[in-house]
Amino acid sequence: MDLDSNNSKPIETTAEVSSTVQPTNQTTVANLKSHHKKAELKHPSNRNWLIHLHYVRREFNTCKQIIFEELLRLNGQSEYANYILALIYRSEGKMQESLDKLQVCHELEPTNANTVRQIARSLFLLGRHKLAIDAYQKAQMLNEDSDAETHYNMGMCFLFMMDLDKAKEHMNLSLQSRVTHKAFEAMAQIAIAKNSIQEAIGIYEKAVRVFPENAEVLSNLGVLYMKAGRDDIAFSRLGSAIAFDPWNPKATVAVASMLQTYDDYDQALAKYKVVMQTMPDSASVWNNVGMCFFGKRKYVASISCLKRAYYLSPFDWKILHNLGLLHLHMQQYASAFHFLTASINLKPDQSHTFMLLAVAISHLDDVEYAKHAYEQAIRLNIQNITTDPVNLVLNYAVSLFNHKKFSESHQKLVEVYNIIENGSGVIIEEDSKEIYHRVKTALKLMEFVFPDDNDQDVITSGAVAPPAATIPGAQPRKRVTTQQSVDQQAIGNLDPDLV
Amino acid sequence: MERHEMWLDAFSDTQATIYTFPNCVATADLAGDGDYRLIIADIGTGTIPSKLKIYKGTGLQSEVTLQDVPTAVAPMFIDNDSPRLPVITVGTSEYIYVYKNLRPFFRAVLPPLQINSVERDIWGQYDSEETLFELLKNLRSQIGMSALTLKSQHLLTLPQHERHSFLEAHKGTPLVRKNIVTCLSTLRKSHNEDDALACLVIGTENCEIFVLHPETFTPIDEAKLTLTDVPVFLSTAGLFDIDYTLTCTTRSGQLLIGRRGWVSPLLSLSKPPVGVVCLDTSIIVALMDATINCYSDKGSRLWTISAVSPITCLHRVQLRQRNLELVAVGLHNGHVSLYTLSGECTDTISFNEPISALYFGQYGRECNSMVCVTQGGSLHVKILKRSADFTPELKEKGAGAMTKLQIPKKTKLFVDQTMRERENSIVMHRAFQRDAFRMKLATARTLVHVLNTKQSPIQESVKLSAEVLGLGPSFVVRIGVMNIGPKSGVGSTGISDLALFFHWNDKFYDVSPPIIHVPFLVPSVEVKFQAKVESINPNGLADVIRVIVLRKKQAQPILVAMINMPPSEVVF
Repeated sequence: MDLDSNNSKPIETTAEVSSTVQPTNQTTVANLKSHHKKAELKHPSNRNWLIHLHYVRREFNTCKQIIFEELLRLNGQSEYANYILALIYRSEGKMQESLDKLQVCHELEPTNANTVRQIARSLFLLGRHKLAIDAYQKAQMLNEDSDAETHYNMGMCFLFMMDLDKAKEHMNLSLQSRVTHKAFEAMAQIAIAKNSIQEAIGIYEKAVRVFPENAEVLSNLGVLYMKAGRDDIAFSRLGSAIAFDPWNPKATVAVASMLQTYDDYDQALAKYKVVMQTMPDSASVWNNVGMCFFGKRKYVASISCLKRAYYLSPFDWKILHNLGLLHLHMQQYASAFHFLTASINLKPDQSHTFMLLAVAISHLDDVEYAKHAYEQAIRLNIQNITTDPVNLVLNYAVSLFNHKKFSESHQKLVEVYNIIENGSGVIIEEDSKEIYHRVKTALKLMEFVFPDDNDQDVITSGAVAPPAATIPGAQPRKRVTTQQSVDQQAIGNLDPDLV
Repeated sequence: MERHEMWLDAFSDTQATIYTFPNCVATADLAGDGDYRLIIADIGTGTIPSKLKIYKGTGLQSEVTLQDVPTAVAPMFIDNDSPRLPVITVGTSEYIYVYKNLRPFFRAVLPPLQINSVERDIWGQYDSEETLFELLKNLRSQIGMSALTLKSQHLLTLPQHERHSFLEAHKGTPLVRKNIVTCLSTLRKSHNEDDALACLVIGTENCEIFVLHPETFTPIDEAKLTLTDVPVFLSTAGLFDIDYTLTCTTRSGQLLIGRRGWVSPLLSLSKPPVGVVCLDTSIIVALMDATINCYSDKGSRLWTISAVSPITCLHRVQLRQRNLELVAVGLHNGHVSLYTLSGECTDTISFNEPISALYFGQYGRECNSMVCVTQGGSLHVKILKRSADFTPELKEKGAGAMTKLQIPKKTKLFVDQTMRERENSIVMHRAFQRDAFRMKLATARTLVHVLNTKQSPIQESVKLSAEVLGLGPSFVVRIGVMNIGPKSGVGSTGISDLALFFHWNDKFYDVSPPIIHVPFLVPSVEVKFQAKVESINPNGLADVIRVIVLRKKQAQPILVAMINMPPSEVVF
C-alpha cells in the first residue's frame, strides 16, 4: 500500500503543475488545449535534479515514472531523462533498450562526450568490442583533455580482443593521465598473458609504490613472486597485504601454502581456517588442508578433507594424485591404484604419478606392470624432470628387490650410484641414504658387487641397518619421495583457483 | 549487551503526506523568540500543490503554497535589522523566492544565459515554418539541445501539426535561455555567528555556481564558478569576505573544491554520491553502491564501510555541548544509523518505511533534535536524551576466526573397510581387474553380435518418432517414420517393404490396427501413421507398447521403440 501511494505521487505532481500554470495563461480559450503557454514556457530540464536524486537513491520505480512523464511532456526529447532511463535499463540487464535510449541522447546532445562514453560502455558489455573502441575514440575527440578512464576502457576492449600490444599502449596512456590500480592490474594481466612474469612483477612493484596500502595489489604481487620462486619477497608482500586487510582470502591462502611448504602445518591450518570463513567451497583450500593433516600424520582427517575436495572438483588431477598418495600410505593399495589411474587419465605426463602407481602395483603383486609403470615414469622424467631421479630409481630397485628380482635390482642400484656420482651437488635425504644402504647390504650378502665398496665418501650413512630389515624397509622409503611432491602439489594447486 | 534507548519520541505525524528531499528540510528561529520552527518544502502530491510547511511544537503552524516544485530551501539572514529575523529562500526552477514572516517578500531570477547568435539570426529572418524547423534542427545537431533557447527547444519537441499554433501563440515572446537551480547553500558574509548576514550560493543546471549578494540578490561576478558537470550537493565553509571553500559533487560523481574564482577537481568517485557531509578536515560521502567513504581534504581515502541496504540520505550530526560530531545515514530498509567520524556505527534507529529525508539540528527549544521523513510521507521528530552514550559497539569480527574447522567425520564402517582393504588388497584388486576384463569382454561380444546381426546403429537407416494423444481410455499413437539412411542426401536411395508392428500387453490395451504397412520411403521425409489404442484396464494403469519396425521377409527387427503410455482416465 505504501509503495502504491508513494509511486503515484510523481504522476499527480505533474497534474498539479499544469493546473497551477493554467490560470496564469493570458491567451484565451482557443489555446487552452495546448500545453505550451505564452506566459511561461516550462523549462525542459527543470526536473532533472529530481530524476537524478531518485536515481542515485536507487528508487528506480519512482524514477522511471517521473522519466516517463517527462518524456511524455517533451515528446521523448529530454536528454537527461533518456540518459537515466538508459542507465536503469542497463542495471536491469536490458542492454539493447539501454543502447537505443543512449542513441537518442546522442542525437539530442551530439557534443556530450559522456553519452558517447556510455554508448561505448553498452557496446563493450554487449561484447561488440570493435564498435566500442570506435565509440571511445569518438568520445575522445569530443573531449580534448586526455582521459584516463577512456583509455583504460579502450585497453580493456583490446585485451578482450587479444590485441595485447594495443591494449598495453592504451593502459600506458591511461596511467600517464591518471594513476589507478585498475590500470596497473590490467597491465600486469597483459604481461601474464604474454607469459612474462618478470614484467608483471615489475608492473606490480610500480603499483605498490603508488598504492602502498592496497591489499589486492600486494597479494597479487606476492602470488607472482611465489610463482617466480622468490619466496622471501613473496612472504613479506603477502604479510603486508594481510596487515592491511586481514580478511583477504588470496593473500591468506598464499601465505598458508608457503607455511605449508616449510612444514609449519599448525600455522598453515590456522590461516586456512580463516579463509574457510569466506570461501567454504574451494576445492584447492580443502586439498591444502588435507595435505596439512597429512603432514601432521592425521590420515583420517586428511582423507576426509581430500574427499571433500574431490567432491567439489572431481576432475582435478592434483587432488586425485594426493588421494592416491594418501591411500598408498594407508596401505590401501587397491584404492590408491584407482585414484592414481584416474589422475593419470586426466594428466598423463606426470612421472611422479606413474612412480606412485608403480609402487601401488608392486604391492598388488603384479611386478610386470609395475616395471612398465616405472619405465614410463623414467621416460617422462627425462623429458621434464619433476621427480628426484635418485628416489625414482631407488624405488624401482626396492620394488624389484621385494619381488626377488635381485640381479635387476642390483643393476638399478648401480644406476642410483652412478646418478649420485655424476650429479654433483645432488642433495640426498637421510632416509634415501638409509634405504640405499639397507638394500645394498642385503644384496651384498648375496654376493653382488658394488662400485662404491671402497669409497665410503659418496654415500655415508650413520647407521647401516641389519640385512634382515631390508624387505620391510620398502615402507619408509615412500614417505621420503612423496613429501616433497605433496607440498609442490599444494602450492601448484593455488593458482587455478586464485588467479 | 542491552543498549539504552537514546532517543525520545517528540512528535510524529504519520498522516503528514510529505514528499521531500533532504535539501528541502531545515529549521530556523523564524519568529525570533528562540522557538525554532521546522521548515519543510513539500514537493507536493496530486491533491496538494507544492507547499512550504512550517511546523511549530507538535503541529503544523502554517502553510505557504509554492508556484513550482521546490528544489531546496535555505533559511538565512539578509539584513542587519534587529530583532534578528531570518528569511526563507526557496529555489524553484529559475527563481529564488524569498519569504519574510512567511509572506512572499521578493523573487529573484537567475541571470539568463547567452543566446547563440546563429539561433538569433534564424529566428530573426526565417521565411517559413518548415525552414525554421529544419534550420533549428541542424543547429541542434551542432551545438546540442541545451544550448538552444526555450522557444526553440519547445518547437523541436512538437509534432508537425502543432507547430503552427505554437508559433502563432508565441509570436511576440523574446528568445530566452533560462537557468535552473539544482542546489542551494548559504555562506556567511563577514561574521561567523549563527545569525550573521549570509550570501546564498546556488548551483545551476548549466554547470555554474553563483554566490548572490545578500542585499541585491544579484550574482557576484568574481565569485562565479564554471564546472564541467551539473552540481548536486553543495556545502560551504568559511566567510565570504575573508576566505571560503565550496565543496561540491556533480552528477557524474566528481568531488570539486572551489574558492573565490577558481575550482579544481579533488577526486572522482566511483559512483554518483547520494549524500555528502563536509567536516573540517575530511569529507564523508555516501555513494550509490551503499558504501560510506571518508576522504581527507587532500583526496586520499581514509576509510570505507558498506551499509546493509541502499543509502538514501546523509546528514551531519553536531552535538555542540559534547563537542562530538557524528554522521546520520538514512537507509532504504528504514534504519537511521549513526556513525562516528572513524566509521564505527554507534546507534541505529529503525522506522518501518524507507527514509526519505533526515535533518538534525535545533527544533523548538531542543538543540539536539532529529527530523526524519519517510517515503510514505510520515514525519517523525526525535530528541536526543541527555544520557545518550555514543561509545561505539565492540566489533565482534575477530570471533569468527575462533570457530573450529568443520572436518567431515568418518564412521566406524569406514575404518573397518580400510582394515579389510589393507588385509585383502591383492585379492580385491584381482577381483576388480577380473571383473573389469569381463565387462570389457561382454561389451566387445555384444558389439560383435550387433555387427553380425546388422543391428548396428551405424547401419540405422530409419528414424522413429512417436507421440501419444488423448487422456484415455482412448488414445491415438502417432508414429512418424523417416528414412535417414547413410546415403541420404545426394543420390540416396529409398526404402521399401517396411512394416510397423505393435506389441502390447492384452490385459492393458487394445491396439488397432496391430500392423501398419509402410509405403516406399523417400529420404528425409517424415511419414506419419496413426494407431488407435484403447485402455481396457479397469484401474487405468499404464503399460509400455513396443513399436517394432520390420523388413518383410526378415526375422530381425530393424528398430524397436518403446512407448511409455500415460495413465488413463477411468470411465465410470
